[in-house]
Amino acid sequence: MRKPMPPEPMRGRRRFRVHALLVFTLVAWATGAAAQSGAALRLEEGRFFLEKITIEGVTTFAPGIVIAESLLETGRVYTEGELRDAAHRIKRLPLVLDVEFSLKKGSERDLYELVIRVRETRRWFWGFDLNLAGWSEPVSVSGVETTNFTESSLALVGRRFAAGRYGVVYAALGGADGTMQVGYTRHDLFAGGGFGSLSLAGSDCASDNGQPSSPSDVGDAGCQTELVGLGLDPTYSNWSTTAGTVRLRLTLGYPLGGNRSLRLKGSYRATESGLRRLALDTDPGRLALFSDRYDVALNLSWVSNSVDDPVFPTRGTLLEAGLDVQTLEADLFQYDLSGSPLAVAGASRSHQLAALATASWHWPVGEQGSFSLGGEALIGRSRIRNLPGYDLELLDADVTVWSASATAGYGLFLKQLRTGERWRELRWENSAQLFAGGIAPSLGQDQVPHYGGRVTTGLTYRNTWGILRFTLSWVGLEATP
Amino acid sequence: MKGVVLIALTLASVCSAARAVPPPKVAIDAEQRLVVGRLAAILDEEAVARQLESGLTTTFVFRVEVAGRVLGGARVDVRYDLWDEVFEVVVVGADGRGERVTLAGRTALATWWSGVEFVVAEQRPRSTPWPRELVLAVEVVPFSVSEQDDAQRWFVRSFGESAARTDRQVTDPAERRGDSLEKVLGVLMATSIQGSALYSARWVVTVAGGR
Repeated sequence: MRKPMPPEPMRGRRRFRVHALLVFTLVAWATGAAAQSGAALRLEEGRFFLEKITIEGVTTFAPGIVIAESLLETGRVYTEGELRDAAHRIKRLPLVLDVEFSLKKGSERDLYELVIRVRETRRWFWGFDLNLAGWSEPVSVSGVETTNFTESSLALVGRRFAAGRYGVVYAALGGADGTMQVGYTRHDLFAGGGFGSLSLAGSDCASDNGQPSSPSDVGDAGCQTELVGLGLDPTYSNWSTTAGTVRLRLTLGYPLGGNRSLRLKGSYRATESGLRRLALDTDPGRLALFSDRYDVALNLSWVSNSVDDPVFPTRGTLLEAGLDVQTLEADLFQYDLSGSPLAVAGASRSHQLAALATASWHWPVGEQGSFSLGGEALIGRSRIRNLPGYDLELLDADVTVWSASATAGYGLFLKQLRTGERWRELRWENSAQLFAGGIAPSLGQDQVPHYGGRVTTGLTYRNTWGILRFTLSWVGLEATP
Repeated sequence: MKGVVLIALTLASVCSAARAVPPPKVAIDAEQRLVVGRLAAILDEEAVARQLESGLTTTFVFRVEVAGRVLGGARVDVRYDLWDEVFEVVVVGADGRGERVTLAGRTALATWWSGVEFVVAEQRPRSTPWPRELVLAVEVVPFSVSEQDDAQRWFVRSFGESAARTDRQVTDPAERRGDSLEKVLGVLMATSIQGSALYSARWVVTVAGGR
């Protein structure tokens, strides 16, 4: 802890105000807003020298996590804007529902004690997510049938445990990664407010009845289906597991100051066997069995995040830009139920290196609503080897892959109760997304959807225990040669 | 059992009535502007009172609406200086005029609050008089408003430009409202893009005075 320093001398403050005035005048001139606008007259931004930081309301984990995540330290001057950003950082912790900042007098004039009052989530947590979707084109999910209606659900229940001064251990049943998962998150890494999170998940895909029912779903017996990106599989295929899966994830974050950080995400997944099905294939008989599949993904991104709430964002901006490396390998056995003999495709490999950028902006509308805009763009190179295509031929090519999407959303709080022990929120959420993607050259994969759209509406409920979400979607896909 | 429920309901309604905050006064002044005064005693609401004492800025955003359409607004920023034990207050009305006052303590703030008047909507076109009833809403927002200036300017400029486009379609010079709309939006947007509201209230008020 630094030794408290005296506040800035008056001369420095005056200089700051002169600079602030100059900057403001230039900005007002440049924007045409002019000083006559009502926005021009306001209180000077508060600047506070923090002598002490006190955490209140923390019972289930170590207060050090809150201080580390705030990136605030004693012995420094902070503006109100910086304090607000710190409050948003704390609120984005999964352990925290809400946070309130207040100041107290310090030991000497112009020194302050910052009191951070936290409202925690519970040690036990749960989540449930159900999406019903209608599709413009029949899609295959698993087995040999196609459908225009899919249902995907996700259930999760778990518990958190405090682990040391800056750590949290959690264990959960269910979730996107498998039927069981354990993880450890450590804050204040690298001696500067960084964090790291490591999780291990496993699922056993116990029975046929547990098959997934959507192109991106975890079945109720742990069987997972994933629609693999065009850069790894340009045929728009579902990969469904029929055996156990193990997944390891690692995330490291390093703060760069303010709301900016560097983030490294890694994932490794291995599964013994499964079924690969062309999602838009009209011939129900063609599919491939796979075995010894594994995939690796690494993503290094610069992140700027000023979003106020991770679940119900109502204000702020999230920008991410980085490099993405992915590999998918499996032994494939191509199969045609219409009568062709079983053919061994052998070892298939796909590698993708891409630049990826995402952005989202959130603004409040009225007292209870908020509007969001977002977009994502990816461009990269892929090397595809020995992967079965639509006409049972084996693809072997180096291609350029690209994808882009734009999303607009509107959310409205139907209920917000945030008093004392009671904390309930119910929000009506709507979004419309346009997406497009492709590879060049096309490899003759005419059935690959090149653009489409998704409209979603639903309700999300959050309380101190967890999150319940129910959504309805319509997905339109358009394939062009 | 029914009796217990009835008593509980009666008590609840009495408590709720006691907590009901009387509406502020909205009147038309000599220049045909809408003026808000006799502000409601929301300073004593628990969340508001706590924020006022926090040493950080508390912003009160006032908005007048008719049938969901915003006619105007105003903003009051309050910050308690913990060391000088005074409240620094800035009021910005819809006319773009501001007032800055320093008040010594909570009692002085409450007295000032109940007596202050400010413009929430500028003069209307002659052909559309002020309605007899309108909705006055207030939101109490924590933290300073001077961050996120880029977003504010984007909003103000966007709405200002759209107001200017509307302006060109108006033939009566007296009806040119572009400037005032920009001011109002400047006042409103500057605050509404900030933190979640700690407290909000809406009243249906009868407009006093007029032509």
